Amino acid sequence: MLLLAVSFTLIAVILAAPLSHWLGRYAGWILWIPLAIAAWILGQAYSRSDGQVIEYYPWIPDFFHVGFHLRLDGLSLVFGLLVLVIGAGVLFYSAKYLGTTKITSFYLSMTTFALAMLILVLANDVMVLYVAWEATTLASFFLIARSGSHARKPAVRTLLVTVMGGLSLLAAVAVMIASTGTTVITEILASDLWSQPTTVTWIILTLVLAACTKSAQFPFQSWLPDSMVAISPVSAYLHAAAMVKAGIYLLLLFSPVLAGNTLWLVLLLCSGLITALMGAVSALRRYDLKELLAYSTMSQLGYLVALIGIGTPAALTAAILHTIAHALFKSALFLAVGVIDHQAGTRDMRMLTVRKMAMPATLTVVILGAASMAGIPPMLGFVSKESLFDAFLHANLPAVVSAVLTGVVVLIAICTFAYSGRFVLGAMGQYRSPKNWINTPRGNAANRQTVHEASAAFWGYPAVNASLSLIFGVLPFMLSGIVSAASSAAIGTEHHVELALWHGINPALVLSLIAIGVGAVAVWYLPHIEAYLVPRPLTFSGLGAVEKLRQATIDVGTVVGSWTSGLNPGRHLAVPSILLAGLALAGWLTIDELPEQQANLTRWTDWLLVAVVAVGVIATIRARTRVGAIAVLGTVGFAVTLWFFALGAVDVALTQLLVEILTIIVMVLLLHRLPRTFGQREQKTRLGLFAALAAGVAAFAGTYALTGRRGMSDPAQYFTEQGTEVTGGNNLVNVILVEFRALDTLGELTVLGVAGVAVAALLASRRPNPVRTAQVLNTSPLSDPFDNSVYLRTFAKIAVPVLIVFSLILLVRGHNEPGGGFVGALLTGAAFAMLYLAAPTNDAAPIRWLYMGLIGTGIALGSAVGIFGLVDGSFLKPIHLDIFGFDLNTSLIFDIAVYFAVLGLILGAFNMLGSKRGLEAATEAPPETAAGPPPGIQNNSTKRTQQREAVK
Amino acid sequence: MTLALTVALLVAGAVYLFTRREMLRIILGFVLIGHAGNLILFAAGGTDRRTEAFHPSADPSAMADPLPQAFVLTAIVIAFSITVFMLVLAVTGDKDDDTAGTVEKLDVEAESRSDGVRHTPRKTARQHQERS
Repeated sequence: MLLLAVSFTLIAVILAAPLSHWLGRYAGWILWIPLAIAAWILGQAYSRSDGQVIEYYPWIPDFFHVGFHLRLDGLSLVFGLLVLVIGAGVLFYSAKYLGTTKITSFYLSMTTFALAMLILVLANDVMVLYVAWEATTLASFFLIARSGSHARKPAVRTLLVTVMGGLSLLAAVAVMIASTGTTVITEILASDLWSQPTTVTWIILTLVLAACTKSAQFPFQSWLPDSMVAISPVSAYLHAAAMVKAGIYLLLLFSPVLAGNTLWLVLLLCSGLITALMGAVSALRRYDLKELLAYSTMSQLGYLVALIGIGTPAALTAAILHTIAHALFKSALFLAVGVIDHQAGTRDMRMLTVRKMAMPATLTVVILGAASMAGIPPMLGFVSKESLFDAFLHANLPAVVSAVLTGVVVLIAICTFAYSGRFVLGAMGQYRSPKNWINTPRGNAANRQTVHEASAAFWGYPAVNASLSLIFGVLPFMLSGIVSAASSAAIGTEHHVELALWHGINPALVLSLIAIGVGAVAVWYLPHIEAYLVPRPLTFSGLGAVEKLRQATIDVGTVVGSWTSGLNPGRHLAVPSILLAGLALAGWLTIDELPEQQANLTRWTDWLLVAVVAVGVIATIRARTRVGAIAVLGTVGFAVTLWFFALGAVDVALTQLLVEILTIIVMVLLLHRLPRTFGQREQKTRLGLFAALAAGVAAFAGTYALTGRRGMSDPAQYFTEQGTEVTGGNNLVNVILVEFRALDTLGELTVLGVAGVAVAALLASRRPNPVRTAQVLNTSPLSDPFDNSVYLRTFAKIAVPVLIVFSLILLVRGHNEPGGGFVGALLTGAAFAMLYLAAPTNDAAPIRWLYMGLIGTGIALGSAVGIFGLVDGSFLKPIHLDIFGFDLNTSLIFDIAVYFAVLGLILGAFNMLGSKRGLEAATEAPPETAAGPPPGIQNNSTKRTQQREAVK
Repeated sequence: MTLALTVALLVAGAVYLFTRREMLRIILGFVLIGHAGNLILFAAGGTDRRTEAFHPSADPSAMADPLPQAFVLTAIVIAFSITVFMLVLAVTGDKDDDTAGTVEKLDVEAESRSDGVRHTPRKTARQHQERS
């Protein structure tokens, strides 16, 4: 049942994008339905159970049996219904609110938010709880950030604060898992963990930090008003049902084991009451109706946190009742402000004074909602506020403390009444500024227009919530059942509540009347209060602190980044080179005894290879011209190829040989864009030599000391002994590449693809260097590229087809004999390279295939083979198919995918770098210098063109 | 011993080339250090068994370790693609491949500001081309 509810919410997420595409903003009129169904399912699931529904679906069985463990009890029912019902309502409302742009992002983020919140409140596994918690953080970030560039900073600040809380929750979760060995919340709550004072202290600190950041409690309150840049439906959801309520849910979830703990009590009471007072006073200073509501949310949540801190059954019951009351009136008010903003074009109470507010329905919603917020009978807010006073009066505290706290709460309630009145007056356009303030900005008299009522579909949902505030206020016993169930869960024992509007004359009622009476006087004197409050802002601001922190983080990052931000790669490469020597030194000092080295590691032929490598390396570093360096580098490459042959690695040696050839071809293609010789010798030579020697010695010591001292590794043992048996392939290297470690290979294909894309991107954004025009004598045979390539062209006519056929044979037989996709593709590439070299001009590529498409085909084909493997249980599992008597192994198709990707990269390199079209299509080289070639010496390109014409 | 010496030569040559100014030399250094890395992988598998790893023809006890071979095979191709990428870096941008003396400070703030403004990438590229 619970999974069904989650699934319906997921359906809304899946439908969000296509529906937004087809229906635009009216997608909301459909998207609310799955959420409403999910809410109905939750209700059904709960009513058919004995107070608790538990469902388990395995997720990560290897890690403490983490599962998609869901639990529905009274508490999660209340929060789940708030999430789904208000979510559905907000979606319905948004259809009328939204503009014409960025529809998809809104619906997608909103439904994801609802899904994350639902999983959060249903989670019975701390890991699931944590993941859902972070998902709500991200969803809220996207919802705020989508409002545009002005929302960027607030969104980032919100993210910073809430992510910090998320990490804190992760710490709490880790402590819980480590101390109890389970991730199931019910088991954690029932464990004896809670009798260890130190652990409990840590858990309380981290949990309270997490909840305070999420619910915007002091000292982390600043993000909530900051996030006001989001549009009204988002604010309504964020404030009334989602996000901030997540913190309250977390506190209530752990309340059964933590209530009564002194630290818990002190932290929550202080944080809650400070926030409540600060929010209420700040709300009296704001002109933006939405901002006023934001501070009010802070304040109301402060009540809830303080109540949870007190932790008596009455307090927890009051907290749950007030959560419901707050969700109803706050969503109604936010959405009503949205209607006003939409119709009047402003939500600043000073600007609204010049408009004639002809919006009876919306203003009724405003009045009902504000009455509930102020705690005026017979609204639900009155019932909840009375229970709140009662909880503070009967707190488990010394009488004096209790009395002082009650005083503070009454003061907050007076402020609440005052700002509620201010809100109603402001919304009605009846805001009065302090008398002697002549500079108060006012709406232009030209804007003195009548603001008309919106359509019923727009104000309908806010009206429903406002009416519910009234109905539940008059008939509070309708909520008795659900509040009893929720408070039983939060208290940990069975608790029965009888809600009533009239409890007789008792201290709580007296306090309520005091709050209402004094509040009413305060509303009358609002201009005076404002004249006193507005010029006296708080000297410190939480927002400033967060902003400073954010800026400081960026500054530190700039400093750290500047250490390596140079364009000179030598500076970056110096770090690992020096560390290598340091590592060798550390190894020499710490490793004392090594196992005996195996016999027979070296053969006399090896020394020849060492000699060739030595000659090649020395020649490479001593080369003065670029073409020379490349030529002698080839020596090293061929020596390494021979090494691979000597070590029994045929496939690797073939690959190395072909790559060596291709590397040199690509280098030669680009060489005419670089100066011929290297620069003059510099002073750094000695330092470079020293570094090179140190690194060389370190590499020698490391390789000598740490290899050849053990037998074959276990996996290698397995591959050599059973590889063929398991796969049917005789070429073990190929078998490892395309079967055992195919996922690895697929990843590498992706790297190839990314490299190809990166080369293309680089060429699109950076100008290639101009070509050094070769200046050759007219009479020299070298001056004519067409005649020059006769031999190569003639040879290519025969060699290329042979090579291609041979490469295909290599590809197909790779499973059993030397070959495979890599070698095959490299050989085909080499064949094509011959075509490119034999081409008489650079103007057109001989092979005009879509190299990017080829790379993409390779990766897609490889992934498709992988998905096909799922048929037999796991990604990329090779499957033997019997087609018309032929034994076809899907690993061959995977090898073909490898072939495509590698060939695509090679062709891409040739086409992009070799042909004129690829390299200079976008950026035509500057015209040749005015001083033309001296007489007798002809520019290559002109001659080439003439020659081509002649051929035609 | 011989393999370790080869690795030492390659690493020393690579590090020496890294300290040079020209991008092409740095790329050559990368090619050399790539060879060194591949040979170290082989060394890790042991060099006493050197028969090709093909099943029915070879005795499993004399067979070379196939695992490093598989690693190296893909590593070679990846190194090739990285080499191509670095070569493109070398021949684009400035007039030659000199890397010294062009130290630019990262301007994180400017970058984060520019993130806020949406350019279509294609347009930016074209503007860039027009400028140059």
